[in-house]
Amino acid sequence: MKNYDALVIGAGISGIQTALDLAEQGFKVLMIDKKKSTGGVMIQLSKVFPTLDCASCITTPKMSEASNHPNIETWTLSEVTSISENNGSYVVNILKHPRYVDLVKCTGCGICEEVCPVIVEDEYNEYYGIRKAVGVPFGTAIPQKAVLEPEYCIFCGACAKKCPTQAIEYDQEPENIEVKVKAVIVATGFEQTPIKEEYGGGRYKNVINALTMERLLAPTSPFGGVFRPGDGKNPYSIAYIQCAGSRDASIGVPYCSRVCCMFAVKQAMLLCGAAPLADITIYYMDIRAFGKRYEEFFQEAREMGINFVKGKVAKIEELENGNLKLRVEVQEEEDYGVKEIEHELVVLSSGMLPAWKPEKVREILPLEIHKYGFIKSLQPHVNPSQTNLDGIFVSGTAMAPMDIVDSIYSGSTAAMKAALYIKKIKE
Amino acid sequence: MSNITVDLNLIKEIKKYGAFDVSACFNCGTCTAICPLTDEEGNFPRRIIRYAQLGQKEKLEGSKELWLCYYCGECSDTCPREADPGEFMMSARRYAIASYDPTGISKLLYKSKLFSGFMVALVAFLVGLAFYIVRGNEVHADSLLFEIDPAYIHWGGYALMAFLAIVVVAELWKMTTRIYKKEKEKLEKEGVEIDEKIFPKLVRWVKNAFNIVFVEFIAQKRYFRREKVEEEKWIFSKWFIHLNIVLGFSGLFVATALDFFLDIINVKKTPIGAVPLFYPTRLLGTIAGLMLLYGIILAFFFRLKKQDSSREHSRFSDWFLLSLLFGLAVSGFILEILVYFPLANEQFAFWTFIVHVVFAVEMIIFAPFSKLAHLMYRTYALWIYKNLQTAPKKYPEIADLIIYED
Repeated sequence: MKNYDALVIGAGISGIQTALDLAEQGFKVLMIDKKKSTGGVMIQLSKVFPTLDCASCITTPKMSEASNHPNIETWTLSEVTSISENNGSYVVNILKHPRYVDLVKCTGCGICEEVCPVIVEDEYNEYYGIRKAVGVPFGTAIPQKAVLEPEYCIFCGACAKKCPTQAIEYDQEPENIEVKVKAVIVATGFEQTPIKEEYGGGRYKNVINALTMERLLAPTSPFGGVFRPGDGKNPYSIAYIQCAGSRDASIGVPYCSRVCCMFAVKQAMLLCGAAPLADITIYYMDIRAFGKRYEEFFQEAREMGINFVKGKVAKIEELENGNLKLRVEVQEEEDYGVKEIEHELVVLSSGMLPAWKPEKVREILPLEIHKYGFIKSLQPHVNPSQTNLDGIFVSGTAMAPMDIVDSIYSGSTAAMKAALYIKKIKE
Repeated sequence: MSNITVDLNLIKEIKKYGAFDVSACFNCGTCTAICPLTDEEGNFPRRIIRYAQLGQKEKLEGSKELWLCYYCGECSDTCPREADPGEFMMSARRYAIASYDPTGISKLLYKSKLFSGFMVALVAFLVGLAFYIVRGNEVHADSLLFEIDPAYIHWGGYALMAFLAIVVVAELWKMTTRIYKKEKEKLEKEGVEIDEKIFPKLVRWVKNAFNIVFVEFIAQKRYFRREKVEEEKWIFSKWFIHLNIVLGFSGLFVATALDFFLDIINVKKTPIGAVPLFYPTRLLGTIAGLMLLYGIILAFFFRLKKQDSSREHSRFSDWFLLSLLFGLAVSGFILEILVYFPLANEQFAFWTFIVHVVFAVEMIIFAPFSKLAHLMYRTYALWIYKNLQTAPKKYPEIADLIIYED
């Protein structure tokens, strides 16, 4: 059984920060992620607010630093199946899914991708671009190694034949690995709220989630421009619906997801550049620009000519030409009343749900969970990273909805608390 | 700018009529936008909730929108705050019924179950007493169920009717003044003028009245929503249930009134109840009775089952009206069977008749004070609404408006 000082579950920006901060202090860290690459959601983003810095320019150095750090071991495609306490430390069972590619032999050259005949929808691009059944997940993925997906693979053998290092291994099996750790940091992150029934429940092609728009706006976007999914048309009028999946008790998410106001403002600004002819309207209840320079960022967006309309969109109807008709009670001073407004593309500012579902958490750990599914901090104000169990810490959006800055803060906080705890155990 | 009185206790007061969590409302307007009845004239429920939150008592009472709502429950289903706007509309309606009523009886009926029970018992007792005075102990006078000296009933009845009529007129007057005040302010604010001579105005009003009676009252058009009716199977749809209750009730009312009228002009003598089954008024009564029974039973069932969000919160006043209607329909029906059944126990028939009369009298007496009043208010409000909608309006010219430039 391998021994580590700490296990970080989730290799998003918060988990990476935790792992790095612990490793820098000399602790041995194991960082796992169920996805194919580290980087979490942040690696999918285009720019960050309010500085409009490139998101991957912040994430990739950290990802790469973590993966090359001598004190950090990174396992992707891995899940925790059980955690049990044993004399002050934890025995963790980790299920490592097969990659069907030898990590040592693979050089990430991409030849397998070229020869693979199977085209699949790319989840990195929010199913809006394509990739092959085998290949490096995306350009900035870490580890920069190919993955073969058996659910799509037709076992033609083309990749295995062409691979210069014979790295393709069809006979890999899932591995169950037991490790012993002193502390566990849960950084499992979030997922987007599903599209609610009034907004088409996902049936309308031109109603997209903000993360999809994020991919369209990114420099690594699948099409190099903003096209609407229904017919590939350049949208000339784009609507943002705020609180599309937050502050809405009717879908069980009565809390504010904190980031949606700001990412909508950011995307609207980016759209001014990416789709200069498009009219952009943001339907909002109130803009919550709470952070440093956020309010200025919002005011800047208004000055840029982005149309902010107060009112919550109640219903979307799809028209025959793919356009969307929004029904909303506009509550502006000179223009009010219920209106039906047509837009060519609708972006939903969807909220955050915990990615690690409470029922799954309970199978593994007796963690206290907040009523909305996030992991509960024992003392949310003075010691946010401490859970109800000794040696188990929480960071990032596994704790509550938060933006990137706060995720990084909380990652460092969790690392500090975990370091103190491990030190105490070792003595 | 006119003076605005703010009633700080308005929301507290409305909450006594059943509004659940309207304080939770953050005015996003989802309810208004989702509402199938919202149009350019009527903006609800958000605006009405806002009036309550801000203590705008007069504006709330002057909102015709209270009477346009059919409580489909769509707003309550989609409300992001689960503030139950639909239930609020109903509570505000109860509040309005109570506040239009000058006697204060309505307020007590809505707020106190004890008082309601007492009033129901009192009316039942008085009706019984009246029978006793007229008939004494002799309860089985052959089949002359209806042979009661009209003079007694009529004197008491006329006095009661006069009182109720005065109450109704006062209620409608208060409602009309409130609505017109609010609408006038709104038109003034928008600079709209209504320029119409008295004669075309009257013609328009009469035309609208016909429209309301046929389209809104008889067909319940506003209640009808194709997608809901298809989804729920039309015979169980809310629209069809309500339609049956409305038509059944009005059918019975018309049949009874015709009977009475025919009696006065001596076309038909009432003493013997057993006119042929196909006698027009009797036929109308039978069909209407069946419709009422159908509607009432389903309404009861769905309310007990809490079928959907609009039937989740049944207040005492809802059950009260349903029970009265149910009692009226059932006792009337038993009576009809007994009349045509030669071996009927006369004593039983007589008691059934008394029960039926008790229900009918309760119905009439409580009409302006209870949920039943919505029949009058809604029809009337719809008419006012239509009149305002069809009025020839003169909008201000663009040049008259101040154009804001930044």
